[in-house]
Amino acid sequence: MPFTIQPKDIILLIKGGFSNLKKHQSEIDRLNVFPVPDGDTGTNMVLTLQAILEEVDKANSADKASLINAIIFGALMGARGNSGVILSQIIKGFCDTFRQFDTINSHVLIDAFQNAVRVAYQAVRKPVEGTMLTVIRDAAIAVKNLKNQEVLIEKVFEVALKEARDSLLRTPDLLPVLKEAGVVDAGGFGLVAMVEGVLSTLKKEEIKVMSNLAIPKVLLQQKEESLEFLYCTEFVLKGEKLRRDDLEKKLENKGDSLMVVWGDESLRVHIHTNFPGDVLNLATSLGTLSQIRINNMQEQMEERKSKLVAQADSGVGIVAVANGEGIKEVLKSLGVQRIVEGGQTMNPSAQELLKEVEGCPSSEVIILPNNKNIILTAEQVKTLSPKKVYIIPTVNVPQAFSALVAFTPNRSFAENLKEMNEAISRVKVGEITRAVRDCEVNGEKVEQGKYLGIFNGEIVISGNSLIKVTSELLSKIVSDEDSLITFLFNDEVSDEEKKKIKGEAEKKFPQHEIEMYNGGQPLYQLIISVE
Amino acid sequence: MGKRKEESAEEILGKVKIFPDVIAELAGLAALESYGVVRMVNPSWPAGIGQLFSRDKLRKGIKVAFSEDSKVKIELYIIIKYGVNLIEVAKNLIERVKYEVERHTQLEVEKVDVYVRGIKV
Repeated sequence: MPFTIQPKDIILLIKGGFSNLKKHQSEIDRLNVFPVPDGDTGTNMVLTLQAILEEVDKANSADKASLINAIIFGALMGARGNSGVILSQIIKGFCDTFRQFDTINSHVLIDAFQNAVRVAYQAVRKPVEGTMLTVIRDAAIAVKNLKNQEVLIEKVFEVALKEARDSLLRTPDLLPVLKEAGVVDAGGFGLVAMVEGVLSTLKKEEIKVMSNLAIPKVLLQQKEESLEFLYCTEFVLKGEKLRRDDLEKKLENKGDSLMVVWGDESLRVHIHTNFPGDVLNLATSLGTLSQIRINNMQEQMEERKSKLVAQADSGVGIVAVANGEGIKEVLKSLGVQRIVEGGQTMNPSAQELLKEVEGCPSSEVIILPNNKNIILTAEQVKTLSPKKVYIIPTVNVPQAFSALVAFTPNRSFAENLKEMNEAISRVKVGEITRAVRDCEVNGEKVEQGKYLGIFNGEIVISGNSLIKVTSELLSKIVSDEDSLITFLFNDEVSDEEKKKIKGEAEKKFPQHEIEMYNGGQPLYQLIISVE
Repeated sequence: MGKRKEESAEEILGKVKIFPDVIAELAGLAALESYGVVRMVNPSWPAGIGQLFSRDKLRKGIKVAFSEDSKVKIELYIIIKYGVNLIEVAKNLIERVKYEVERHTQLEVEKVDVYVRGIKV
């Protein structure tokens, strides 16, 4: 249990760090997504340390000065890759401090940590946080607290290791590219592995905090699930003798989500692909192109995410009335902060709404009633609350979805209200429920239990088969101008029925995108939104 | 750089044009975050004098050109921190700039030349 170490012990410690790093080499390689995802971080760090050890072997290890010089020289010359260069600076920082003392005690070691951070940060104009730089800095800050105590050398490394590990786990929060890939920083991981190796050597027993770092492995799997095709590519192709199936066949293997639709004497094409250039090349050989649009879907995804975050901070509270777990989830993911349980048969009271409005931290609150009977109740809240309360008169859940999508945080409140109100008028909604008693619809008798198709609040269709009623209801709602049909189903709809409904819709409206979600809403087997 | 050049991403795209300035900006951002690079310098200055100036605009120290077949060529003029492996820093920089520019523009980067014009002690 050493209070001090001799300079020559440094070799032992580096060797300890090296061997543990080597154990994790390929794991670290796999984590490498930043700055360039070339999968060589572990290898580079190993090679850098190897070069140091080679240089040390050549030097006279009895002489402190030549030993330190050998380490610095080995680190400088042997530095490989970005992580290697940073590592070389960290090691240089340690050595510069060690050089000044005959023996190394905890005070010297703590100073050396600080110096390592100073030297490492000096070599970069704009340090990127969430990398090994962050990890070493956090570790250095943690050991600084031991400065006024007499502690063992190993205690310093223990504290450093714990903080380095915690810091490593935070790297995805600091560096978005890590989070997207679902990994922790590779260089930071390497650093943790080295400190762990050093501590194991000091304590002469194997330390394994890395085994607690199971996270990266789990995260690695997520990484593979990222977008397969990056670009959403759309264009209109005009020309003589164009054939839809011909073009479809040619584009089939270029990506997925392919749609080729006839417009007036032209073909409209939509495809998700990694090679928009190839697709466009192919298309130009058949005709002339117009209205080309290429979107990076990864960016779109991120934009959406950051929009949600910004929305949460934007100072506008959003309260919605809903029931059904699935629907609540979606509403929350779109920025609704508070949800009041309620719907068709259980209208919430003004007091219940008021409670949630008051519960929002912001002084401006938007209410989405999502039912025509609740709009009036919501209006009362305006007079009951000291806050500025606005009602977007949504009469169903899909309208709420559209309104929320239209909300942009950095726009003025008035503009947002206008956009949201416009958005709800654009979405068409159909609902399917069962007749609770015998009744008459459009002069026809409908028995209890039969399915009713509702559009614009009117019962437009009825029948015994959910699939048939859905299909006929869709015919009444969907037009060529629409592009998206969303089904929210509840637990009463069987998997078989879902499959058939989706299949029917796809057959009937091949040019529309079809999405299905479990809304979990009571009473309505299906809520259908068409945009 | 003479006449301002512009380049289309793909002949047929027509509407998508990426100006050299944009590429320079991307390269500059990547360079400033590259470890070991402490500054960009104006290539027209004699070597060493760049050390006197610190607040350079991103585009300074970067030349962008296009080859006949729309490939990008980039030149970077940099100051490196003393005590780091120059060659390795330059190699990392080349990789990073190539990666970032290609990732953002879909253009092929044919060449990135790095000129180390000084060392910051």
